[in-house]
Amino acid sequence: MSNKKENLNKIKFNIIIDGQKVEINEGDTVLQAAKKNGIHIPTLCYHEKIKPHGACRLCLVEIEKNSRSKIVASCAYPVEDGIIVHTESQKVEQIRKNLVELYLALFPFNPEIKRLAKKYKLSGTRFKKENNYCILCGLCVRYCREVKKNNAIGFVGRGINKKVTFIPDSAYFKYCENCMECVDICPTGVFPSNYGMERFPQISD
Amino acid sequence: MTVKISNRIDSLENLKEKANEFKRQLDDSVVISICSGTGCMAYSSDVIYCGLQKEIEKSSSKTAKKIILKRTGCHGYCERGPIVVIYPQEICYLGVREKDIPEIVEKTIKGEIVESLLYKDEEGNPIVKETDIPFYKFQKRIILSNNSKIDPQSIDDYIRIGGYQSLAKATSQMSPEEVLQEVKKANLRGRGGGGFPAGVKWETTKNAPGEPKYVIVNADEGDPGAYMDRSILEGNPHSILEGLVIGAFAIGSNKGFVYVRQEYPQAVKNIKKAIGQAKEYGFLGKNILNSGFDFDVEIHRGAGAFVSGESSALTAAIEGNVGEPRLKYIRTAVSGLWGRPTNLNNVETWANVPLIIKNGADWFKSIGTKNSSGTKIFSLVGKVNNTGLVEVPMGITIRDIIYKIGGGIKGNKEFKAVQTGGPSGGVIPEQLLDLPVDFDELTKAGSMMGSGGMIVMDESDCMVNVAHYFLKFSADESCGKCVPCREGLRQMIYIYERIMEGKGREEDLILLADLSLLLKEASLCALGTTAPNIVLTTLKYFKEEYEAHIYYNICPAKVCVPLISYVIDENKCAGCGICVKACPVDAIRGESKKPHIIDSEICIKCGSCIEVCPEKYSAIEKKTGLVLEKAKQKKETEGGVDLSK
Amino acid sequence: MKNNKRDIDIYKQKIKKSGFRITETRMVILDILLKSPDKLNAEELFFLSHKKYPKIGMATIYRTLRLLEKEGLVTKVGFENNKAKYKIKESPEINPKKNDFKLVPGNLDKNTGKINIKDKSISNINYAPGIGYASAFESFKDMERISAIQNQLAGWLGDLNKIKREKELALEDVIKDFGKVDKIVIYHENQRSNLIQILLDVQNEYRWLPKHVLLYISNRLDIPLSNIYDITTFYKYFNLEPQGRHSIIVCMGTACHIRGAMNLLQRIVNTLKIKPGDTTSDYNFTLNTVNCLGCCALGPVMMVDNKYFSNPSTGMLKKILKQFY
Repeated sequence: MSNKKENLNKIKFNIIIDGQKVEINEGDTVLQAAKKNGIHIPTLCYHEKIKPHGACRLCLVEIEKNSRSKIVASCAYPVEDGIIVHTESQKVEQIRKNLVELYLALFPFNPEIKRLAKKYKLSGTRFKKENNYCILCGLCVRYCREVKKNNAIGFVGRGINKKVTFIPDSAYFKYCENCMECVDICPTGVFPSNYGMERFPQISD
Repeated sequence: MTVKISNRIDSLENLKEKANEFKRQLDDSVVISICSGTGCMAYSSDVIYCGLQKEIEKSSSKTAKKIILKRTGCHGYCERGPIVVIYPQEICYLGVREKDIPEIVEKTIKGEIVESLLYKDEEGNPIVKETDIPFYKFQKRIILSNNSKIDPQSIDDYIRIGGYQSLAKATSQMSPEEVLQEVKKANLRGRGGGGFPAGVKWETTKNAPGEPKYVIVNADEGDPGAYMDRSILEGNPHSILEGLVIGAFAIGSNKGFVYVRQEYPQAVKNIKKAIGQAKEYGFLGKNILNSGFDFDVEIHRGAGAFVSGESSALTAAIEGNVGEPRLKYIRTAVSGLWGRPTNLNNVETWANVPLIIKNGADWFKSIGTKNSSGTKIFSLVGKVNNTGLVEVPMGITIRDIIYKIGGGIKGNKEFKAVQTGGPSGGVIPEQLLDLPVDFDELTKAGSMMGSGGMIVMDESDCMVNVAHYFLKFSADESCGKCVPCREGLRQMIYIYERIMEGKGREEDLILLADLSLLLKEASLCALGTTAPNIVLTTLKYFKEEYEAHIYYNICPAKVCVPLISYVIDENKCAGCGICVKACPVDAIRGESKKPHIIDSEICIKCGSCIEVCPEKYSAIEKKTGLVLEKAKQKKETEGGVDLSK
Repeated sequence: MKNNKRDIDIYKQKIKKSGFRITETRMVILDILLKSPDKLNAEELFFLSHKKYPKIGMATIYRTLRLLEKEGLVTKVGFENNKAKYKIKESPEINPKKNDFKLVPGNLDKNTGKINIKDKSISNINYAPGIGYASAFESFKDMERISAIQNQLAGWLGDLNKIKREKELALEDVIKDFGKVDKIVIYHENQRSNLIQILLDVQNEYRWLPKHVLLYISNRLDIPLSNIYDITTFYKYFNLEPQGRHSIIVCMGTACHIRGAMNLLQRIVNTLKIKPGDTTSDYNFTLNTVNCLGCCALGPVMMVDNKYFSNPSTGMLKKILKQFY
């Protein structure tokens, strides 16, 4: 929560979110604006301490600007004066419903996904189930890179073969300091089992 | 203290003098230019070049005539390569082989023509001049025509045909603002696929706050089946450099990058050499043409990722990070490389700039349509008679390109569809063939012009298979960051594989539509949002094919391997046994001189047997609709119709 | 462990006696493991505990399992579907100790990522090559450092056994390699943003990217190894495995595809008996596919080294490949 004095010096914009008129600081993203005003937009790959990534696409909202509307990721879209934000318009709901169905095929046990599934009355999924469970939100990678500054976890591969792994896979390098905060931050709760718990680099290796 | 470089050119007059000097050097001489583009190289045009060289040396003692041999870039008529053109008469020889070398040299010295190598029209009449050949006649080759006239590794050749005079004109007679307005007026739209007006982009970059500003050439041509940019990079690299410097001058940028893909080693080599030569002549570096304008350019090689051609991914790659698209809502023109204003344009766009400055915006607008001026280079490939690179004015119909220039469908088969725009585009069926080629019309039809790939398909191409191919390409090249693209493509491929195996379900079509909508709306970058175009267009125009696969387990085009079988017609088979030897899995059995049988359980459908079966018998054919026991049972329980062809 | 009630009680008593701190969570997990006849993986433990104790999250399960393993109470027994399975250790040696991570013999300096060597007499050094040794490659008069590198090499060689098939990797080779790589890095002005260009040049030199070279570049340019691995696995051009002497490339462009590139690929796969991306066991051929070679008129095209072949049949293939031995 920023300091009140700081607030007074920033430029303010007036926008409408879901019919509610709010005043926002310049430089905030739509997601931050919504959070500050008690409006919930679902996210999976968002974390206050790290830069937005845009991988989960759950936070998509519809923005109306100059009588044109577009779908944007609210975690990264900077607020502009006079825009109208719809977090649950028909288009957004349609997108979210299909997205959640896709997630149900990946990893159905996240509380946010479960809640959304209930909301859209999805009991199962028409898609083929994946045993991968990792949704590649990149929270572990980005957290280790930006907050802990250890760079011990990284992506490898591309596209369908993309994975998250400790680098390097043998413990010659001591990037990892064993803080285990990556375990807490994983939204599917599966990290690092898909990698193998014992792969936390051991000093004694 | 400045060191005067002997080759440095200081002014427009100086340049024109040099051009005339080089032109005079060609007086009283005959030039033999041989195409050394990659297509012709695959036909050993380098061997022919060496042979010609030797032959010319041998004959030089016998004649006073000066013969100059040049290796040029791609001439465009790749179907009939290797191509040799004799100047100044513009005699065009097609399909040249090693054995033709002595005759060519001999006849050229005498001033005669080798009739057997000329193009013959339908009645058999020979056509001598390159520009009279139907393939070339209906094109408007403002960019590509220079390829056959110059050696891409020689800057002198480029100067001879008037190269760098536009740059000299811009820096000495125009202000940066005037250059920009001229390009804006000409309505030059991005040739890389986006179709965004280049002049507007330049203006945004120029006006955006921040220094230094950058300009980038996007030479990462990743579309499979498209090699237009490659032919310009290999055949006329200086034209791109000239356009780049003019653009940098207009925008106010002093540093440029050329992002070339590593898979084009000849292009990397040629552009590197071109940069070195341009520096030497003073067209790059400090105080270009004495105008006070400095500009430097660096080459950055790609390493094998289609997605890196997207603008935010490309800037990420130049910065040294992974070439993945980034989530940003600020345009690259305002904040690009290292947060500075960056202008990114495609190779072909840059190549058009010197022509606009030379001939004026009005000239450029006189070509093409109202909203899309100028020409576009397409790579016309697939089941056409004349495959190659074609440059046509915007507004020409697709039918004209395929039939007038392309010479119609190979083997007189039936046209089915033409795929445009590469993996981001879709298919265009027969009923839309009269659509004019231009940025907006094709997009309205559901496809897009893209970077210029044009793949012609006939009745023996299965639309389901084609869609699957493009989806696999997109999935392979996707960066994998966002869920809709990565997982959506994965699920779509599962569905397609099921359909191609004969296990498709009715709801699959709905699933595909849902997934396509999801990808279109929710993907992070243009790869994801355009990947479903192929699915949507094939579903729209070729729904019957999908239904045949799903309900009847037939592949009408006889392509999908699980739905076809190779069968030997026992009435035609003579039992010669050639196919038995060719089969890599020993699936063919039979006694000598008696009809053979292919065991469909073992057969892997590689096609080796059909290829070797002697034409007089032609006993092997592909059949579809012959269902296995399990599939029959499934249909009986589901109440479908069992059709066997 | 017989898993009857008496044994379970004895076990719990043993734990209590040892002074090992039993929290509720730890007890729940031990309890489930004790009562279960099978070995369990982390997710199964989560589901079983979740019903009664919904507050125990996945992360806690992991932390606890890790701790119990360290304490010798629980042991890992193999993998299923990439997930580790656990069970109670039969005879627990319960020695609760504080997890005391001391880097021996030096200390990791977080700011520079370098390890400061404290005790030079230790010859069995367990930590990263390169870090702290960048300057070692500048002068080899320092015998201690050479012996440290030799020890580390012994570890590397275990990973690099594939190179052994081509040639024996000796220390001199490694040093020569680093010299070459250094020249390339300097040519690209030691700039981090030129990483991809540097890797391309290295790959053109060796035809693959040996691991020790990647480690060297990571240290030299101060780029975290995760970034380097991200880049080398993202782009198709880079090879992280040694390649065959000759490279066979099949064009999978659209024009070649509709002219039958899949059939051609099938024939090549059958003849060489390797899949695309693999190398033959005699390291003679590496098979790869590429998206467009630009010779669409010749489709489907196969390229061996620099030579192009248009749609060879199986017989032709065998003849062509014989030329490359």
